[in-house]
Amino acid sequence: MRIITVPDEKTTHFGYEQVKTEEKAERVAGVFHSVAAKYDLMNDVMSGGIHRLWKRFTIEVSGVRNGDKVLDIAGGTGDLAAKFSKLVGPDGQVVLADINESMLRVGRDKLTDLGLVNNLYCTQADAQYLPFPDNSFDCITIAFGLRNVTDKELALKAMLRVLKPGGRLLVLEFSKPQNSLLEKAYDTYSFKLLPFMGKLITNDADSYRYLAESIRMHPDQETLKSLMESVGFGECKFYNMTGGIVALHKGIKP
Amino acid sequence: MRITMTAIHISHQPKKDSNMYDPSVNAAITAALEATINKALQYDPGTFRALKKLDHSCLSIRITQPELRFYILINNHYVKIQSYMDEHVRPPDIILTGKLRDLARLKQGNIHNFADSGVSVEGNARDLITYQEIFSTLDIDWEEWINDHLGNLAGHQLSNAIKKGSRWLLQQKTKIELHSVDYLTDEFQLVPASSEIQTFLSDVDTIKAQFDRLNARTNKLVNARRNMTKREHGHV
Repeated sequence: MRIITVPDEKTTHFGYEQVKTEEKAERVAGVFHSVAAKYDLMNDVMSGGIHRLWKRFTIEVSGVRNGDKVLDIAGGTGDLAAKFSKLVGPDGQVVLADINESMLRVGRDKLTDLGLVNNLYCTQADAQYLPFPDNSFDCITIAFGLRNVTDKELALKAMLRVLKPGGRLLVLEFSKPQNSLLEKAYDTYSFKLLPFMGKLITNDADSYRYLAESIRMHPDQETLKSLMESVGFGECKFYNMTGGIVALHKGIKP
Repeated sequence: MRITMTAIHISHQPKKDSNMYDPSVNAAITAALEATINKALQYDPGTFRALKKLDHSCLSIRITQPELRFYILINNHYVKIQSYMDEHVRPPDIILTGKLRDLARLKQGNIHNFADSGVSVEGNARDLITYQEIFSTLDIDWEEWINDHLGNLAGHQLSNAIKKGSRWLLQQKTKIELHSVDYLTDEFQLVPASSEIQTFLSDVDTIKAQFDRLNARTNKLVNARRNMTKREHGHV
């Protein structure tokens, strides 16, 4: 089990680098401003398209139905939001929230091009300080965003607050492979191949090096589950996918 | 009307999330199935329209060997296939449970034969009958699909070749079934012929009957002897 080191009051991790806490958000913003334009392409290239299957499973577990209100945090380019928009129908509502303006622009433009304008709203928001009333949403998703949040516990508390009682939180995130052989192969892939691909496609190797490092600094499956439980979520469980490279955590607001 | 019919075993609630494969593998399977089915339905307008009767219904298929579970949801003529669903939130309307080969054989049977099918059924009988009717009248115009991709001329040639190939395979299958018995019994003599087996069994029956008669006669004689002995002792 990995141990989360309690961040120093003044510093936290940005990948393997220690930075001042107040600087992390800005450093992360810089990464995503840089990758926003080719984010979808890089997702497909890096994961071989498997990210679509991870997201498909996430949507199945969400149980989102006609009329639901859904919040997709760190939704970026709108993959999940687009699917949810079709599921909730005209009586439902989907809010796509992201702290990064560049990612939000790409997402908003993509969703507009798809014609998804009636029940879908875009808002720039910090996951730690969600600007919504209590008990607003039936379901909240955050896909590959939680590891970039400075204070994960604060963000989880905010999500708990804005969920309706009985509402579901789904956290889709990179995690710890369950097999040591797979872990070695994954390390080689992450630290050698990913930055190379980032350099080739987006001319930005550093952002993808941060990606690999931030994954290693993220809590493992059991630790994140415990964190969710300590914040107040009930019936917490997780599903390992692709040998544990990615995990989907689910919690219910009591 | 909601009924519960059980076949070989009492219907049960399998443990939750009982899909043995990685969720991403399940997602790949369901995505491929969903795309294929919906694409195929475009070439079968009759079935496409008939799906309206099953709008908002949910069919759960629980395969016991290999261990897999799927949910088929129909919404506005679109067939959605999932590997996961929270059954507390959305209970399925129909649940079919069985081995893969038994479920596949359902296509040939009818719902009155579930008791012999190895498949257990729970749920709404009316929806089940509708599924059965739709499935039995499935008529996908695969030739049109080929023509769309290859053009009418090449598509027609390929369709004819496929039909000829299918007919040949069916003929070969029938021949093998007819002749294999003769090969095994007459040519290779690996197994006795049916008539030989019948003769043998008949002989066994005859011997058994004779033995039963002998046994009865012996018992009669023993009992008679025993009674005689008792009488003699009684006189003394």
